[in-house]
Amino acid sequence: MTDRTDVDPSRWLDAYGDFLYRYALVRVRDPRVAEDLVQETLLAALEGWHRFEGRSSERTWLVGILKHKIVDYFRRQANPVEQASGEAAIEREVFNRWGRWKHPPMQWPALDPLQVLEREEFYTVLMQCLRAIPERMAAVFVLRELEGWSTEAICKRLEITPTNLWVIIHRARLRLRKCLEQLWFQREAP
Amino acid sequence: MMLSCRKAAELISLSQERPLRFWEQIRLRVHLWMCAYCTRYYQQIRTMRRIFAQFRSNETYTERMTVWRLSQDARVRILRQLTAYGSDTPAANDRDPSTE
Repeated sequence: MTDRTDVDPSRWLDAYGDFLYRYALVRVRDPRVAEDLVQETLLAALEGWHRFEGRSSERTWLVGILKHKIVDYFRRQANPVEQASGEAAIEREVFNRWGRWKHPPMQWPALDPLQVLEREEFYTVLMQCLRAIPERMAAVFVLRELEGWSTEAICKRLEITPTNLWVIIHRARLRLRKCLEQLWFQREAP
Repeated sequence: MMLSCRKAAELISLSQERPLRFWEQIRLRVHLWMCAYCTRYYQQIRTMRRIFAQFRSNETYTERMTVWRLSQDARVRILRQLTAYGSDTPAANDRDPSTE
């Protein structure tokens, strides 16, 4: 606590504010929540500044704190009972009663899939598609695909069973694939 | 017993989470062998996972989302909280609209 003087949180805000905000926004999807998480992160950083050992960059350290804040937010949000019905609707949207595709997957242009990340417009589309999936589903999806967590870690942290997680992530993929196809891959002429 | 596309899609996603059991594997393979749509679905799910894996492994993609930045209001609000933390007086309600 002695070296409070060499900490300048306004510099953090200038240097890393936008980065932390983007990192949070694509995961929690709500601008107001993302702003609050940035604030909580910087406050926690200020409080724990004496624990920063300079082994990683300041930004990496701040992102580490933000990751925890995001998971805490997901835990607060998770309300399994309310959400299950909305999630099940997704399968009825995609498959008819005989279990066949209502709208079969279309042929995507044969471009290097990693090229999409080079395109700024892709992130707007991705955000739009992430916003269209229910909260708990998004939480599971974000931890699995954007944070790269294992099934076990997610189940433990969000207090769900593996079977539960498999169903949730499957429906998230159904919905997201369809949305990305409609808003991006179908429009991307090769 | 023939797998429906609905069940096949479930197994496709499941195969990304844990190794499929022997019969799950067989039934999925047989279905994919006959169903162009589910084969396409399988490839697209893997493409999406590759995109996300690439996204999370490299922070420059996060930097690239320049359409989003902290609003001026949010900056002011956050800075006020941070400054209040330094001095020992707690900040007034940071959501008070009259002060913004």
